[in-house]
Amino acid sequence: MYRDSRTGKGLGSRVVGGGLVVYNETVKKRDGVPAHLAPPSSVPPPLVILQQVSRVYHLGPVRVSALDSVDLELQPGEFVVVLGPSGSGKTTLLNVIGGLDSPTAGRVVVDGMDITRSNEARLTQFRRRKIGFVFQFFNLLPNLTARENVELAAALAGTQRLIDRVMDDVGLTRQSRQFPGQLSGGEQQRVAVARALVTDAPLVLCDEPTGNLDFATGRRILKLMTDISRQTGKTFVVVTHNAAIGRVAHRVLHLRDGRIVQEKDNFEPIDPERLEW
Amino acid sequence: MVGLLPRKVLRDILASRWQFAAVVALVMLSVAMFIGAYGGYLSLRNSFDHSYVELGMADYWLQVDGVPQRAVAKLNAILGVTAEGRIVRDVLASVHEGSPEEVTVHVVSLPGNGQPVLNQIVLEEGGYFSGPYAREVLLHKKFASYHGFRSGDRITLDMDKSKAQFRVAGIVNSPEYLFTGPARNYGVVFMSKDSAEKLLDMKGYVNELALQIDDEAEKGATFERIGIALREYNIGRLEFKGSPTPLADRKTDVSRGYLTARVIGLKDQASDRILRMDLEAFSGIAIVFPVMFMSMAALTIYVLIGRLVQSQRPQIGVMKAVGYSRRQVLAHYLTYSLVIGVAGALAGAMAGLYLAGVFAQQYAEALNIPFVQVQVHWHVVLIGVLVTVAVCTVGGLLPALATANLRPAQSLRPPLPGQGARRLLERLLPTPGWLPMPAKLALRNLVRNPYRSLFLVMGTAFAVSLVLSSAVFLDSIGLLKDIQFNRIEAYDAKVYFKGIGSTGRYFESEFWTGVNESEPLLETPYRFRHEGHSEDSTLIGLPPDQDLTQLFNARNQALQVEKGRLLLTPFLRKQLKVEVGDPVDLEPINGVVGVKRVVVGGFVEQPFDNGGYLPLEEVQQLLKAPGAATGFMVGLDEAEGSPEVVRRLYELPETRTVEFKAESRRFTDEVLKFYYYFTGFMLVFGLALGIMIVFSGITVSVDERLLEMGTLRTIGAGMKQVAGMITIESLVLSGLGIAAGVPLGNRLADYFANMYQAEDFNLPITIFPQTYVLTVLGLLLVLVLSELPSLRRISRLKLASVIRQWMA
Repeated sequence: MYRDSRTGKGLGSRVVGGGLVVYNETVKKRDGVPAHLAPPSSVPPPLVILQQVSRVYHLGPVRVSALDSVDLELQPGEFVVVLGPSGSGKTTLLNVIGGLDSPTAGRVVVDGMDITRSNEARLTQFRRRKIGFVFQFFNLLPNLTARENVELAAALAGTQRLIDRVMDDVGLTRQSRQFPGQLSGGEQQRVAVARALVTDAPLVLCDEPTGNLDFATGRRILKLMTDISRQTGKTFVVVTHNAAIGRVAHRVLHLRDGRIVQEKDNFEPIDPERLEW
Repeated sequence: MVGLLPRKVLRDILASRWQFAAVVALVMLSVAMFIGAYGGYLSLRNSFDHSYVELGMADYWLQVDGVPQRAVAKLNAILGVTAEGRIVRDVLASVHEGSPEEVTVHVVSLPGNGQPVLNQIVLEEGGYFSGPYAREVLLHKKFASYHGFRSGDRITLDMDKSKAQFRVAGIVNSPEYLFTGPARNYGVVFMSKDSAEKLLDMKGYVNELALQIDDEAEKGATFERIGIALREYNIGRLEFKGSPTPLADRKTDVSRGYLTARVIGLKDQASDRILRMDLEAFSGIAIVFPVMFMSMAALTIYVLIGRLVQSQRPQIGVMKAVGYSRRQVLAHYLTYSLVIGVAGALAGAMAGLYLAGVFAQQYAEALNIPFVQVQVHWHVVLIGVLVTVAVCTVGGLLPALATANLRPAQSLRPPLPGQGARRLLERLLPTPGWLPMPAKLALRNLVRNPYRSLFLVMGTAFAVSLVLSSAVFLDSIGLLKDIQFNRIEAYDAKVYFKGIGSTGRYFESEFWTGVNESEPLLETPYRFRHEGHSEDSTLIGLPPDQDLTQLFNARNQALQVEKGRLLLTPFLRKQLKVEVGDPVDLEPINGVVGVKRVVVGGFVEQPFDNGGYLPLEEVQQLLKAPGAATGFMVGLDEAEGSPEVVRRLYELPETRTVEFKAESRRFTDEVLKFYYYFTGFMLVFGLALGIMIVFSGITVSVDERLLEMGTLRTIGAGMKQVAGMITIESLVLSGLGIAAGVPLGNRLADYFANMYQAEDFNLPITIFPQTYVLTVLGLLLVLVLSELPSLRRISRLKLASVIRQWMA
């Protein structure tokens, strides 16, 4: 049985009371082991499947291949870090998975839903229920309080019942009536994480979530995310420049020129609190 | 490096071309409106002044019963005085061969051998009199045109029981008679002095003295000398409008055998008074409306450039990092507003010059002003352009200053996400927690972005007020016509007697086929006095239980004439400063018999004409003329009467003229033609302002929040929800704008419409409920249409790239 190296607890175990709360029933793990690490016979269907996905941009006469025939599967409960230099296609990969961008070739399936050729209305529904986003610059609505930012996403997904718990989990209950302009960068990113979690989506996509934070705050945010991933079984995909962050992930993907050039499983992800960069 | 920044300005403008175009158009409209309306006003004023100067318009008219011609020479001998004597009298004219119909014409004498020194005429067709004794007349163009007279035609004048035929020598125009009654019933005819003397039996006499008094001459002293000069001719007193002679003095004059000369100044002359009234309103509009437009343009520029600066923060950082000075950056961002100002001002100046010409030309033609002086008033253009450029620059100054104060490092970092703590306004107006999230977000946006909100509220308010202050004219004129022609005048025609006739005639007419009803009336000029206030007007006697003239008060309650209780029109109420129950002394203007004190019994709504109403019998007693009438009203089967009825009305021996209501209504429309024209123009401008403000407001508001919109869409908000949010915001702001705009519009409407109040014209100021409804609906339509481009933009947002931008 896979055990968390830091706590010794089985991943995906549902700690109810005194710790993080399981929000969803989408955890598809066996014995707490991330699906891709489990024996082949017990592997549940992947949460994300990318088959030969390419994304080409035309900037005037210039043809830019942001993703080039990428094949990828992400399992439920995985914490995946995507690394790569600027322009390697990290964000495009995230956007294609999140339904913010469409591939020019290939197929994208998320949680059993093929979004490759979905229209905008279907993609909206998809994003509302299947994806939580966390951005580098937080992207909070400045005229809504911390709680209202979370409420907005909950209202769209119809998951208002989770608001209080999520706010509590990210440790922002006291600041819930503050506007983003009154919060620190770390607090703002916590609100963004809460917003991503409150919809009960199985997949959380994070684009440079620590890129705009100081070291200590960044580390705390990572800790929050890994804890949540562990406790809830949500899949996290974190895009970053920071190679050190790969040490907290179950799997690290290296992208270059739109291709996955290296894929590494990490059987002993470390606690973000021990992380240095 | 030189030339790079201007190129950047150009490209930035092209990138946001529709927003810039909207602001430039707004600036252009305000300049065009200012130059058009003010330039037009100046051209019109010049046209009047020029016509007055060229044609020697008199400053005063002295009306006398008759003084010898030599009195004119005496007056001319007074230093600073130029005098012209003439004979004027109303007579009847047969205008259609074989028809009994006669028209009242105002005969004015002119020297037989050439133009007079004062009050000259402009010959538009034919020629002047062929000689002093020629039986020829010159017809005023309005009268000639209505009745189809050309030079060479013949017209028969009915003068003191003798009829004489005259050849029409020419068709003329005169600034003195721009406004007369309906041409069907009234006209102006000029004839040589010799013919007038002979036909009106005034050999060697004149009954009107036109005067010009030099500007340098002291008016009081000059009139004193004039009075002394006229005393020789039995004129014992000069009576000026507004200072009537006390009755006791008039009695003394009668006992001494003195006559009174009534002095009418140019400002009380009918045509001049109406022209000045129009001009004043024109000049008011020429200032107020452009100021509204310009202030909105400045606010729009402030918002637009503010948005530009926000979106270009990193660029500002780079510019400073590579060595541009604070001043250069400031100048660069001021260039945008300068470009808007210059482009709008130049385009507006051209449009304004064209409009000024059109206004002046159209108006001058509508009024028959003899000499139209459409000039380019360069000082107006210069003021318009300079003020515009200055206002636009000021509009862009604050956002530009903000750039100059940014440090490079600060510019290169993302700005903080909006403001922090709740503002006072937010604390006072907390967003209700039970509201759905899109509504809550929309309302929060309004309260937390007060300047952006203020911009849309003000814009909407100005657009509403502009539309209402234009629509007030249409509605008020509509109400005016309704009150006058559908409610007060229940008759179809009014028969005027040559002098005082018998009430028996009305009784007789009631038995004619085609006549349904008939009622007598007695109208006589009278002086109304109350505690030192005095006004000359008309005393009208109506039968009790009058039916063909409906009287009602402002509360729409029917009024009946009652003995001893005078019913007054609003103008007389204002002039005499009376209320119900106050005493009013009635004095005849001619003679001293017929004095009576009555009390004010009420006030009647009446758009046209003024006067006081008493029972017919009481007025007859006052005039010591039992059974007398000056005419009667008839209700007919056909609005303009069957030929048989018309013939019989004209064939009555007492009949001077018959005035048909349908004709009066047409005449009113003709007189008010320019109102419609101008109102239409103002409405178009008001709507244009509305469209541009709402479009700019919504576009900038959405632009500022593209990232917000992108984020909303990313987390799963559909286009319907985003559109709903924007619409709620716009609706709330427009609602506030409408709420502010309606009272502002009402005040403006009141202000403009009050400029059109005159002695014989009470514009009932009103805005119909349907106008409010249409204005609001029109604005909402504009709002929805203005949202479409923004919504299209949001639906096409590339979410992947938008959400990576900095939160602005």
